[in-house]
Amino acid sequence: MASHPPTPMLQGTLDLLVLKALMVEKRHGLGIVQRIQEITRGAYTVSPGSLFPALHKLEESGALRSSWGTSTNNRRAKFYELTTAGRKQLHSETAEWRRVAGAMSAALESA
Amino acid sequence: MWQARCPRRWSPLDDELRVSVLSRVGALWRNVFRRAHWQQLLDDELQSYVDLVADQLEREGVTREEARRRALAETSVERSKELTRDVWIGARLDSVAREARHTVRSLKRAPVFVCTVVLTLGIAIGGATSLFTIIKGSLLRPLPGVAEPDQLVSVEPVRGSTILYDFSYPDFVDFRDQTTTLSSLALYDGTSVAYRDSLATGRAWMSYVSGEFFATLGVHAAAGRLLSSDDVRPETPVPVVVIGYEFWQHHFHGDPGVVGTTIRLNDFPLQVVGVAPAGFVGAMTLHRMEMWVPLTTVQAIFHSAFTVPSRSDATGRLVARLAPGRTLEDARRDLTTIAARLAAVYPEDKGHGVIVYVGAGMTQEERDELRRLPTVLSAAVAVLLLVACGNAASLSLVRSRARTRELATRLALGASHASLATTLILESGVLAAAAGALGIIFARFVVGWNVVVQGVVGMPDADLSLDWRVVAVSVSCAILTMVLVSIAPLRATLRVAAGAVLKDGASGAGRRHSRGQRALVAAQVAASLALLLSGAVVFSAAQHALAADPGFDARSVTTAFLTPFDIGLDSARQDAFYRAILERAQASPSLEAAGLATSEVPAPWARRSPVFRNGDAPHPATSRIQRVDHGSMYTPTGCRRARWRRSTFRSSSAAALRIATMSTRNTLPS
Repeated sequence: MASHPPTPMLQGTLDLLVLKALMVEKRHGLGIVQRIQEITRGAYTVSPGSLFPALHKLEESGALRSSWGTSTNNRRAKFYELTTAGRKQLHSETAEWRRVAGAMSAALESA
Repeated sequence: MWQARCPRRWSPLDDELRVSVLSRVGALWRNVFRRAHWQQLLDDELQSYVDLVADQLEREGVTREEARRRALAETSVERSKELTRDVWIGARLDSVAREARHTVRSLKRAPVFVCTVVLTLGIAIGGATSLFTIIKGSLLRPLPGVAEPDQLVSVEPVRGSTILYDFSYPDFVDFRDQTTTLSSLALYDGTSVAYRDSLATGRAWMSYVSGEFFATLGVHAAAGRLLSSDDVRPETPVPVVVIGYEFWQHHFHGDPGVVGTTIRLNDFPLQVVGVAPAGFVGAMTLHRMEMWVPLTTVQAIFHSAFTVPSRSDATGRLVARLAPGRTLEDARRDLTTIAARLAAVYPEDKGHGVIVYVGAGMTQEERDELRRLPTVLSAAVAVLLLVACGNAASLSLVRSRARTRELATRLALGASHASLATTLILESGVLAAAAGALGIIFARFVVGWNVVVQGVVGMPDADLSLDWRVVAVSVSCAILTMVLVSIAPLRATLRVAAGAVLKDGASGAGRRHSRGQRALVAAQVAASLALLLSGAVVFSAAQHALAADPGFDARSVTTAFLTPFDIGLDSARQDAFYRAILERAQASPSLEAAGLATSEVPAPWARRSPVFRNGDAPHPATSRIQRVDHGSMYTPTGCRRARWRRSTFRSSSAAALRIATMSTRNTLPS
């Protein structure tokens, strides 16, 4: 597990990270946690107390779909994958995030 | 065409929205109706997560037990499950259901409190609802069976501030012909008559009306025809009558063949030409009319010769319908102008004016008289409701002292403020709803209880269906009170640090709202005292009135009402009739004594009947029987126990006489 000091997560970031983590393939809960750690270079360790509420919320809103399957080490696990709506949400939220992040950087770099 | 040229633009957002909405609805369905299954899946999911973490730790070289222990600690399964369930759609519903169960449990533990609050509020709600229903159903009810009752206006003649009630026929004709603001006017009045036909005899209320009466009220016949202007010409060959629907059903069993038959009113024959529609009872709310005759036949029915109506004869009341687009103000201005014109021309109308008001059925005086009682009662019932709410409030506050501790505990254990508020509001809501239900049952019972209804408004045919607006107002009063009260303990708990409450018990919080509670108790005692005192005053006045000595023993008196004049007996035959009936009454073994009186025997419940002692003459100004003709006299001999023994009774050829039969067995002479 990552030993970095945890970075406080911005509002709405977790959903985007979850969607991003599932962009390529379907994953189970722990897989998503690990993928997020990986793509954020260890900055974010998502706890189950945040992960599962986020997953369930996204699933209820139709962005994710879930199914039970078998993990690589032969454990029964619930896998999540993006739906078409989820993919669209990922795109629009990514664009939105870029816009905000760009604006913030520009603001902070200004004299 | 237009659609073909302008196709609807398809936005990708629509698709997303549809998916999202459908998906959420599905989720809500699952969460509400397949909750247990869903919970099980969540359990499985977290278990699998723990297993996966443990596997990973094992792979990193941790022992199996240690890996399992750490995986469990890291996952904090229960907390994660709780957090996940909280985001589920419909989670609030579930928590409300949980709170409701909690509420029921907590109320079950305090049955005395629940019963007291529910009964107190229920009785008050029931009382207020039934009273306002009765008032609304009777006094505020428009005239039944007429078209567009809000377009009807009543007109009364006045001299200065004195109301004269009735117009003369010539005045009516002038108003009718000169008005520009009324589409139609009618003159009417009513009296009671004796009827006789092949089936039965009896008494009925009869209205005598001008030809425009039914047209003005917008009423159409249920059978045959109604009266028209042609019927009021003195030269009409056959006198006619229209009977009421109820009378038709009751007396003729709804036989359509009744049209064309003859019915005798005061032994004067009239031909039935039609039946008024169901529900229509005439234009006098306080008297349910059963038949209508043209104004011009009244004299014949009462066995006097027809005379051309004069301007000095007060003949009847006036009801009118506003012309389309005209207002009450227009009519008032118009009729005042006409009245002034008449007053200037005719000496009989000198100094006369008119009052005009919306609605028909009751004279201004009747309205004022009837309104007085309900006003007093309404105030009393409003105070009662207030006291009941106060009672419930103070009971809840006392209970809340004990609960402050419970609430603080829950708060310390992590319950949210919202969830505590939900509990308290739900609890009050449940109590108020129960009280509302009880109140409605109580109100239905009260309005169905004729004695009570007649006690409030002595009016037949009141429309006594419960008015849901009234119910809503009373129940909202109760709910509002209870909810406001329920907030008090929560505020107290939040003000005092939870720890302090837990340490000191409930006393700290109790002291804090004791001032408000004292004020509440003071207000409540004051209101209760006011009610109690006014109740005592009314009760003692009633008792005083009942105990008043009428001058004779009224307990075994039976009274019959005789009107030989109505059937056209002349003075000498009337005297013979009275003498004969008195002799028969006195000879009856079931009667101890019998006598004749010009007025009702002043029973304890009689209101305005004056008693004339020996030698007294009724004063025309103060007496209701001012038209007594001092003809022959009858002295009831042997009226035992009565100070009336030496009283003088007069017969009359002009006014109805009553026979006062003083009986020990309370039966009429047979």
